Amino acid sequence: MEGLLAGEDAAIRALYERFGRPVYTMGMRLLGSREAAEELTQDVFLTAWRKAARFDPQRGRLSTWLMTIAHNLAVDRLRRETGVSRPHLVLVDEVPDQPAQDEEFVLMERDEALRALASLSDGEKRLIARVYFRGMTAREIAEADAIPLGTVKTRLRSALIKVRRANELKELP
Amino acid sequence: MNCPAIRERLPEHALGVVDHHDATAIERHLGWCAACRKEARDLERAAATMAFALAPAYPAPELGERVVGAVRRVAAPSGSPRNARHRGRRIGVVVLAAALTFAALGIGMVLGRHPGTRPPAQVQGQQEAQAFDRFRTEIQAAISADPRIKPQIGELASHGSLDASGAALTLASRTRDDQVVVWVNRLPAKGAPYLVFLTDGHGNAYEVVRINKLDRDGGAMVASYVAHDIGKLERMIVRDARGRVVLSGSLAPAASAG
Repeated sequence: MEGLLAGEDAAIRALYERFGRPVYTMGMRLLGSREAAEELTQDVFLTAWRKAARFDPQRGRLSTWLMTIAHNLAVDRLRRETGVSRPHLVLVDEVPDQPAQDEEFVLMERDEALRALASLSDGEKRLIARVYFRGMTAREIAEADAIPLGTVKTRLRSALIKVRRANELKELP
Repeated sequence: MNCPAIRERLPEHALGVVDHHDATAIERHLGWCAACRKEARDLERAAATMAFALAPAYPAPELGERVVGAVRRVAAPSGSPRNARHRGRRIGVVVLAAALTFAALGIGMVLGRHPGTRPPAQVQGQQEAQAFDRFRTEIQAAISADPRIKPQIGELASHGSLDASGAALTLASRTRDDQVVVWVNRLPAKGAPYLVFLTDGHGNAYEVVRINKLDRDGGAMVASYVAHDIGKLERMIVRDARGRVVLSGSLAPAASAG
């Protein structure tokens, strides 16, 4: 973080190599175009530099902090651009058969994330996806599905707690 | 809001979709309530799991160097060499870089990060003036690479009993979308969302950007592309959610502003 604050190439590059792809992936998934994903990626790392002094490793993991920045920026843009159609499927480049060694962290994170999400029912996955990837609020979902707002909030909380518990189990020695 | 009310909102907060009003109240609460803060961090981590579960998309190889270059330019001291290869190609990045320099090294550093050690008002005013001067220098350096860009900057003064402050930058161009960047400090959260207007000499006002979220110290930086030709708009006004003017100031060409 000190290297990032100082603008050291090595520190910025290390951070990008570790998190650039997940951030870009989120941009593709939420914003739906390569250009928007690239802009988001750049904005995320600039924002990370701006906020680096506020990052407290005692309070949370670097990956969570950075992906929260990425998600907030993406959702802000998504909600600002309501009405712009987005693809339902993620457009991705061809996946290489043999991932490079520096991708190991990303692959491990994905594997762990998929395991944690496996604890959710299909309905819970869909619910979280509507909020996380489409930027829908609990109220919007309640109105769209004609169910009580309290029910949506309870289900959201329940689903996140399941994921949290799955993460905790994963970390037990 | 009390703890139960906060916790009811934490899942949506973790998933990034609470409105600005709730977000401000939640952040304020989390600033002092350790129990809720722990809950919030746990939920945020759970939410971030979604991001890592996505099938990976592969960015262009050159994106990494662009990101490194953008951060380096922002972090580099004023006047340091800049990479000529990128000059003029992505003015948005240049503007953002200059803007972030201002936010982090200028007013943001003075007011935004150490509320417990906030200096007296007079010192604070001097520091803001110095930050503004530094910002002007940064902008002049940033836009010198592209003479087609016509920048205007100005300081925003608060109205009534407010102790707020701000600064604005507009970039007019015949070849690109015009841009507006606005910084504010010490605005009350209860006044959000704030609407930012540019006005001409005939009483016409154009809404150019909206400030939905404020940080803990009432600060924010927002930027927007604008469809209007803003080159001849000479004054900025910031109104709160009830329509009251809270900040205003004149804009002048960057080369002679101040």
